[in-house]
Amino acid sequence: MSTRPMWQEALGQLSRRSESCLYVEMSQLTFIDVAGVTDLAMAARSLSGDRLLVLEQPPPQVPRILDLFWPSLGGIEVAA
Amino acid sequence: MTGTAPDPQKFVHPALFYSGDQQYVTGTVPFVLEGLAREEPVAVAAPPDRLQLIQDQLGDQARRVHFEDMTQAGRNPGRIIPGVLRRFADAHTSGRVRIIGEPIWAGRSAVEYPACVQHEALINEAFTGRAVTILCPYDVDGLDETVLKDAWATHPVVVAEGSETASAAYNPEAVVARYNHALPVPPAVQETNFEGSGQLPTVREFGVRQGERLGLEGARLDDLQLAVAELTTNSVVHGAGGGTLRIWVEGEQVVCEVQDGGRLTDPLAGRRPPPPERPGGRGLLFVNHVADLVRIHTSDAGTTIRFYIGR
Repeated sequence: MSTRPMWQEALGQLSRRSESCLYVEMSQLTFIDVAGVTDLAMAARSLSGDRLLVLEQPPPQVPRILDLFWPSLGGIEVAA
Repeated sequence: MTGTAPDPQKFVHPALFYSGDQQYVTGTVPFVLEGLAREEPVAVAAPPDRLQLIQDQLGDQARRVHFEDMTQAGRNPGRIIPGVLRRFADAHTSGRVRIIGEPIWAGRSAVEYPACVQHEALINEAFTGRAVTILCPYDVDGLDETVLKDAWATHPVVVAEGSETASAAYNPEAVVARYNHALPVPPAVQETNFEGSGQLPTVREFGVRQGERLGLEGARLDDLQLAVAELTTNSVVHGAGGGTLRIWVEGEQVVCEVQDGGRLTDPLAGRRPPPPERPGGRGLLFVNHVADLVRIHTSDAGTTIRFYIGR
């Protein structure tokens, strides 16, 4: 909860970049809650055209929450 | 139920009292066929043996109906509105949607029942003003008299042996309040207090450690961890800044509860699927989705949310 503003700020900066593939390296993250994954989903939704948010080695909460609440969300991909 | 189509803005929520397979078929199959004849999307969520009865009668027409095993999809009554009823209704927004939902069957336990009857009551508020019809079958041979009496309070209309009766006892808000009673005192528990967002990781780790010790592993342990995180965060944000986490075992389930000093004022909290673009409001909804049962007690003295996860 206390790290959320930083997380939102980082995702905001990332989604303003111009590359078509935006990578989020998550292998060092041991836990993320529903609000944190919601921020990922919102960032993916904000991407225009065929730009893509690629999540690298996310903790298990990420696919669990995305599958439940955004099952058909484009603009986001999990790379194991 | 038959005849002219209801007002397009009207939510229709009859209970069907049936005795035996024949009355079940007579009460449900024409309801399904009428919907199909009107090109309405039709779903049936009921225990597997009930689904079979309807499928056998429908023959080829069954392909046009969405069937769901309510003992799985609706095992936690708190999940039925978002995960079964609204999931189907929200996917079909042009014209009326027709659903058979049987959330209470013989074999629902005493600890599940208050959540079941509150769910039935809350359907009315959840679907007010929507072009949806939900028919709820009640097995009069298998269910207690109290259950049938409550069905008169949670449904504006009851259908029995082919005839419809408007319910003079209809009062869903009173049912929600009446079953908002203190939860049974748990046996020996492990517990810890938490205060402020800084202690959230510690209380979450405590929950995981205890959940593991009590026999959870893999995806179930992951779900417990997330559920603990969501409820404790809610306590910090909405419930007086902190609370108490307790965890124990009942039979084949690990039970966990979070108690805090807040009052839950929205009876539909955790049952409203937010639109995909909304940035919040999914914490308790997540718990409803992953738990086998969620029980809630809320009063001026505080709120307790208890959830059950199978080992």
